[in-house]
Amino acid sequence: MRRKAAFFLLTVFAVFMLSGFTGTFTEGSTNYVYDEAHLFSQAKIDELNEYITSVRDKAKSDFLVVTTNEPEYDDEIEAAEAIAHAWRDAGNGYGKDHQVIVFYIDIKNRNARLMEYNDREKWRLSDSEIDEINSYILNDMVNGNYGTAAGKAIQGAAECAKPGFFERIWGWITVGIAGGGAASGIALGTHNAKTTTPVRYYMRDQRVYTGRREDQFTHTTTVVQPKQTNPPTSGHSGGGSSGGSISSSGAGHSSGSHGGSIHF
Amino acid sequence: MIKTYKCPGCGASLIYAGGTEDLKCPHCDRTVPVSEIAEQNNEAEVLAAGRAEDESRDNAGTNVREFQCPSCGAALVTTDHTSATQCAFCGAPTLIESRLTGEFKPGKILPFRFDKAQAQENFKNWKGTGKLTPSSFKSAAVMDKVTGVYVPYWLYSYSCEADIFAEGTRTRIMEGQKERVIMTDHFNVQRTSSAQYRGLPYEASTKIPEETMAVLEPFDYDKLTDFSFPYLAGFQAEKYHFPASEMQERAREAVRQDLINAAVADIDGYESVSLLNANVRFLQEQADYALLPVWTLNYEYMGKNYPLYMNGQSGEIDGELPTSKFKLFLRFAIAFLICFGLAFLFGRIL
Repeated sequence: MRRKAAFFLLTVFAVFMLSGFTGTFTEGSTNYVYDEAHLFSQAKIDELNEYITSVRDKAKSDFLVVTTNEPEYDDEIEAAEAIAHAWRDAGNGYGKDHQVIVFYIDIKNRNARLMEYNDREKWRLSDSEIDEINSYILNDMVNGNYGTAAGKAIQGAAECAKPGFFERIWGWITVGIAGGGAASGIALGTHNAKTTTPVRYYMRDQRVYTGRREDQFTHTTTVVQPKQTNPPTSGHSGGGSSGGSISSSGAGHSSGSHGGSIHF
Repeated sequence: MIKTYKCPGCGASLIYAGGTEDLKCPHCDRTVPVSEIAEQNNEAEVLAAGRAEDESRDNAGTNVREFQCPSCGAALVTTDHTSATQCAFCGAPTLIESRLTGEFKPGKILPFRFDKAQAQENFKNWKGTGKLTPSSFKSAAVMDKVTGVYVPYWLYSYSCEADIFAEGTRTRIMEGQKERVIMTDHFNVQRTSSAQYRGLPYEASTKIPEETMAVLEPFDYDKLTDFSFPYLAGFQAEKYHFPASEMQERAREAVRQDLINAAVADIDGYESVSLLNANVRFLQEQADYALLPVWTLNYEYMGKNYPLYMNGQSGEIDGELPTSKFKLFLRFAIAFLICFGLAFLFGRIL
């Protein structure tokens, strides 16, 4: 109970604290890059904005890149969520679900988080995809190539966020055609199997009468097969996984958003 | 000699009432027993008339003959093999009796078991008429084309014997400590098996495709009766195209193979049996000329003809019906919409 109350108060506090930041989001914003930490060149910012503008319709998602060197939160998870909520509260976000994917860099604490938000918690990015993107950009983040990392993160997220087969009209049409074709095919294929009358039908009593029987033994053939001795049963070790994990935090779920963090 | 059987009551043409032993007047419903009319037939007279027809036939090399309808006097055009038909003008059932006399006289006939109305119902209710069959198929105009045809058949009966020479094997397995010994005993197996075949049917005309007739079989031979002309009244009939000798070898070969297979299958006590040699002797053989009943329906759709055939005894039907493109599209469209809707909903739920 105490934990829940504390979490509630923390959330209220977080929203309050972030109110200054959210002021930068305006309704119908076409600016998707907020580089408060000045990690990107203007050319990179333009490039990212241009790229996001070009892919948001295909991916059916907004993309936000936010950097800061003066975070209101030490916890990048809460910060990214607060950004997503603020973006949504400003009337932004793609579609009626206010779908947005946020790439947040806290350069002070050297944390980054790729996070997805929508009203219905209908995720376009899976946890494994987020982990994959994080591991893909880890080296760039460690080496200080933040612009490249942000570009890769957004590009990877845009690729993964594309609507699935059942979310696209061509998917529905394909399923419809397949269903229609199957229904028509079944209707066409339900011809009666044709059976013809075998000659045996005309045989009296459908059987032969055997008068003479002669069975004569001729010879025996012998085959000798050596028996195989079974090798000792080898114990199978369990299929354990190997390899280390990247320095990324596990994908955490919370109401309306999910994502994964990296520490660099 | 061209003949129609007249109703003694109203003078209309009588037709054979399927499944009965009577001819029935379609106008006054009066019935006349088949046996009563058959007694009035003078075969010698019919034969003589037939010879006269043969002598007077044209030398044009065609197989089309023209007769005069005894009811209305209209020209009745038939092929050389037609022996019973209907006048195209007055619909009178007409028999060309000379075509089914002498060597062409069938020994047996299997009368129709049901009448035209029942045949029409059978065609309408055939399970082959799926949901894609054009609606016009069941219309009165189409169903009116249902025609009863007596198809000439040779029914071959055989009494035969087969000497079978085969090799049989039995296997024993002995398990030792270090080895397994498989011993196979081989035997020369000889059998003499006999069987009787009755009424193996081969169509003696080209009226109906052979493979179709194979589907329509079997016919119930217990209902075979001695041939009598009145059974043909109201139906079409043909005399045979192929003599018994022409189909004999095919029938023999079919029987030979079947007897060998049955005799080999009858060898027991062995794990495997391999046929080495077989001799089949035909001890008795007989070919009966019979007319078997088939209802036909030629359905024309989009300029193409779709013939359907029905066993006049069992009601078994064979043939292919066309597919209505509209109905096919409708089915596709409904299924498309349902699947499209489901996929849409599924996508929204995901």
